[in-house]
Order: sequence, then C-alpha cells, then structure tokens
Amino acid sequence: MFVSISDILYYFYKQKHLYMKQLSSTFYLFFLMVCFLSFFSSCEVDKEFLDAKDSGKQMKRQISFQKFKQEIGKVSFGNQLSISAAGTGRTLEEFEIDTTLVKALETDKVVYTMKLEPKFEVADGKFYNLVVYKDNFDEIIKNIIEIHPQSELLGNTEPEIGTYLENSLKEIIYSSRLAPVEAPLCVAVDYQYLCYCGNHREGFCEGYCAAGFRWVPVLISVYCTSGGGESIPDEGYGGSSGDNGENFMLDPVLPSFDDVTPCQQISLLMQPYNANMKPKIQVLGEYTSNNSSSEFGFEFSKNSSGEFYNSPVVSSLTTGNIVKTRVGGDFYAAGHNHTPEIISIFSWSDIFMFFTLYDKAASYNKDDVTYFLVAKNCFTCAENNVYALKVDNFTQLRNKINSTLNNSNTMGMSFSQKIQYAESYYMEKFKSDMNQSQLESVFLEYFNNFGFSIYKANPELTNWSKLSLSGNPISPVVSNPCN
Amino acid sequence: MKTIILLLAITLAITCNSQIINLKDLDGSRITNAYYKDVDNELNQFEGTYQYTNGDDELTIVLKKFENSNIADYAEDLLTGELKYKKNGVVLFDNLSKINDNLPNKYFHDICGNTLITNGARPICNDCLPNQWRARLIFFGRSNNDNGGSIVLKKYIENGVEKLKVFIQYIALPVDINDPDPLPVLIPGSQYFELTRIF
Repeated sequence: MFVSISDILYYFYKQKHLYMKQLSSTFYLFFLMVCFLSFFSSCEVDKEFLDAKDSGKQMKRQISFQKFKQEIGKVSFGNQLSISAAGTGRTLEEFEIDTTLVKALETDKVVYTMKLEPKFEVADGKFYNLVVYKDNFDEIIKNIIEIHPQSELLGNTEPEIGTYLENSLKEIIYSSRLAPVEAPLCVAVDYQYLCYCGNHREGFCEGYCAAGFRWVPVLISVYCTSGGGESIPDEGYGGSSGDNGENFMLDPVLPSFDDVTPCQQISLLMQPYNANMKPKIQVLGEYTSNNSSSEFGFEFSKNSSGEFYNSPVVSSLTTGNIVKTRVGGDFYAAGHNHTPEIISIFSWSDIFMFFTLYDKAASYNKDDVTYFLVAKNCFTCAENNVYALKVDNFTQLRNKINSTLNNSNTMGMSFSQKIQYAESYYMEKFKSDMNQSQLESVFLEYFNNFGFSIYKANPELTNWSKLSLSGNPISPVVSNPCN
Repeated sequence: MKTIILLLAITLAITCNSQIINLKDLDGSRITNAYYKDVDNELNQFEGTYQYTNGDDELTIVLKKFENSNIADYAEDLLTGELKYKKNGVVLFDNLSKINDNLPNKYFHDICGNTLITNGARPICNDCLPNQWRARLIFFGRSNNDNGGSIVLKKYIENGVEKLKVFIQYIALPVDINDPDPLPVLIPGSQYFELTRIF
C-alpha cells in the first residue's frame, strides 16, 4: 500500500500533541526516517499532460513491475515471453522482460511499455519493447515492437531521442490480438512528438515564444490493421483511437547508454550511422585474402560534436612495411592486417599501440577506443579472422605495460628498444606451428589480467563474441556472443 | 674437514641455483638464477660475416655468439650482430666493427637474442630441412633511423657456399599527432635477403 508523504506528516502532526510525551526519542527518529525514505523512494515522476483534455489522467509515469501487474489486474504476469515459430514467419524467439522499469502512458487507454532482453543474438543495435494495454473488451493485449535504429542516439534530450526514434525502423513482430498471422503484423508505425511554448501546446515550434519552445514527450503512435501498411491519419495527437481499437500510443523504453557493453560498442562502430568501420575492415580482409606481402591499415577519428572522419586503407609499402597509426587528438580507432609472414593474432607491439590509442584519446572518445586486426592463419586458408580490442580497466593495462617495459633487463634502453625487447619475449611463445585456437589461447594466457578484452567477429561482421579462457585444456578458448 | 664441508655446501648451493634450461625451451618467461644455454650449439651455425649485394646496394651482417651473458638475475647464451648498409653506392651506416666491443649488456648490439624457432613458426619456412632451427633475434635498428623489430635468420648451403636468408619485420609504433613523423626505415622490411658468407 502506498502512503504519501503528506499522509505521514499529517498523521504525525495530529498525533504529536496527544502522544508526544509518550513517544520515545527512538520512535521519533524512526518516524523521521520513514518520512525521509518515503520521500526518496518514490518511483513516480511528475505527471506531464499532453493536452488540456487530458487533465485528470495519469499521463506519463514510471512505475515498478509490481505496480504494473496490479494495475493491469494480472498478478501472475510472467517475465518470460516467447514468440511461437508457427504462423509468425519468424523463428522461435524468446525474451525476458526487464522488470526494472515500466513506463505507463495514459491517453484513451493506459499503455504500458517495458524493455525486452532478447535471449538470441541481436544484430545492428536492434532493441525490443513489450507493449501491454487493455482493449475495449477489457482483454489484455500484448505487442512486441522491434526498433531498428538507423542513427546514433547522441544524447538524452527530447529532440535527440526524437530524431533517433523517428529515424528508426519500427515493426510490431508479435501481437496477441492478431497472432497467428503472417508477419509483419503491423507496419504502420510512426513517431510523434509535440511542441510546447511554456505550458501551452503549439502545432509547430514556429514563431515567437518568450518561454522558449520545447519538445514533449516521446511517443510512438501505432496504427495496426491485420493487413498492415496503412498510413497514420495526419491528425496529430488525439486521433489515436481507431474503429478497430488497435491504435495506441506508447512511451518507448530505450536502451540505456550505461547498458551498452564494450561488446555492443564494437557492433555500433560497424553501423553506417556510426563510424561505419565495416567497409574498411572488409578492404583489409580482401588484402589479407589475397596474401598481400604488405600490411595495410586505417584510422578513425571523431570530434567533440560526434562527426566521424576516417582515412583510406593505406599500404605500408612506402614506409618499409610499417603501418602508420596516429594517436592523440580525435583519433580513437584503427585497424591493420597481418601478412601471412606474421602471427595471425595481435603482437605485443599491437597491444602497446592499443594502449597508446586509448591513453592519448580525447575524453569524449575513450569509450569508443577500439583496435582491429585482420589476419588469417595460413597462406591457403579461406577465411580471415577479425579481432577487436576494448579496454576494461585502463589503470590495470597501464600498470601491466609499464612493468613489462621497465625492468632490470631494459635499463638503459630507449623506449622503442624496450618495446622490441618485450615483443621478443612475447614471440618466444609462438616458436612453432599453431592453429588459430592455440594462438588465441596463448594470447589470452599472456594478456590475462591486462585490463582489456579481445573480441572476434563472425565472417559477416554482424556479430562479435568475447573470447576468454575456458579452463578446459581440450577446448581452451570459449567464445561468448554479444547480446 | 670443515673445508670439505664448506666446499660441498658451496657446490650444492651453486648447483641448486644454476638450473640449466635449453634455449629451445624458451617460453617467454625467465627463472631467477637459471642459465639459458644453447645446449645443442644451434647458434654457432650463424656466426660469421655475410653479405648481400644488388648493384650499388649492399647489406653486410656480422654475427657473434656470446656464452653465459649475465645482465639480469639469470644468464643466457646470445647471438649478437652488427650491420653495414649501403644504398646506391652510399654507405648509410657501418657498425660492423662494434661487434668486437666488450659491451657488458649484449643487448646494446644492434642485433641480439636467442630465440630458436621451428619450421612452422612465422614466417613459415617451406624450404627448411626437417628439424632445422632458425633464429629469431631482436633488430634494434639504432642506425636504421631507430626503426627496429625482429630479424629471422635461416642458414643453408648452396653449391657448397654458406648462405644466410634474412627476413626483417618492423614494429609499428604509435605516431603522436603532436610529434613529427618518424624517419623512414633504411633497410626494406618484410622481404627476404639472401646473403653469402664472406668471412
């Protein structure tokens, strides 16, 4: 049962004259704590009304999963979902509801949205929302919306989120009302946002507004028909209730920036709307496949405004087969290939390059720092291996690099000589023929606890997996796909 | 009697603390007080002076083995080397005479190391004899505009003449955008040189 702060204070006010003398100081303190905790533990945000006619409704709220179950009237609402393969045109897909946040949007009906965690590999930054509401017949309707971003989410302001969602492809991949029917169940999905001047809604953010225009809130309007493909009537907010009762507006739950793992960051770098590194890696792959005797490399930079720049893939022939990689400023990512003459895994000097790339990168680029390698394990091997490095703990990496470079053996050596010395020791581990799994295993053992992780791409560069030691001598390397 | 016991104790102490490890078993780690010995004298085959000429270009390498070199808390047998490089008839550097310098730290020679590699190690050797060992050493490249990396040596006999096949692989170092570009390498990398023994 929810007890508001005012209830507690009023109770306390009434009671204190009668019983104050009887209250022990401990109980008084307990009461203050209850007040304090009640104040800070409230999950509800301020209500935000879209229009004058909406007053009285509980417009936008963020509630707990428990409260959602109470409101929808189904306390047994599970947190696992699966789309049956039959009738949907899709393979069996399973999801788990992220119960940490449920958004509720009340317009003509209350529509609840929550993020779904897929239990399958997700490509291209797609994410999923479960949308739940009760129709006119009080039946609980569940929809799963797949959102496929086509641009990068650059910030958390409403216009930025709006652009992000507007550019995204949105598709209802499952609806409990319409299933089973041929997918897509609903394709007419559009994004809407509203312009406000102060507290007054405006049609467009045009003209003069002393208080300043602002965009509120983020909504997706869905117009579903069994046939799909119809467009949304251009009537703005307020016309969402269609004849068949399938229209609804929702407040999507976006993936949090903080939730993006290093693994997923690499996938993002491949996207055309992000750094679009995939074509560069593919070019490196072509040179590697052709057994080029020269190394090739590329560089990426990004300024503080989020504008990407990249170099062409350049040969190292003119520099005596040394791939030039610049660090500092806006540079934050680079890649190169190894010729068949070199081990098909990162060298020690590659790790030093990666370390310096991160060390010198601008603060706004640190999270995106990635170093790529394309190599194949033999002259006649058909497939290339594509690897990427991401920093987990830079202090740890710095300490390991420093302790390896600076020891009694390297006293008096220049910096570059110390790196050559470290490389020599590392290469002692690769003095015989090794298959790719053995190379990966030796690499992981050597750089264990260096504060970074290595990831490996699938041949299409659409999915990445984190490599780690399994502890099993028969199959020493385990590959965990990014989800 | 006391002297004998003392001698025995000293001998025992020395024996216990000087574990001998074959260079062929190097694994990227070092054990304190161990002696990393070229048990099968594989490094000996590379000793000598070798020369490659191509028109007005010339690469000369002199290699010398040192035993029981001790700079840290372990000892090791090492193969060291110095180079002379001439391009278009112009001697760009000549450090051959430094091979006889009595350097306390042998790693201050331009070539130094002791890694023995099998035929399957990169760069793979398809024309090596079975069970042949090559050497992979550090090439510091001090006179090569400070561009270095590794140098792989393969010894072979051709028509009764001792030859050395050399492959230099450079290391790429980061280039800070605030620093000037590094000077280019002088000796080309990632290609094989076939040198003939002249001394």
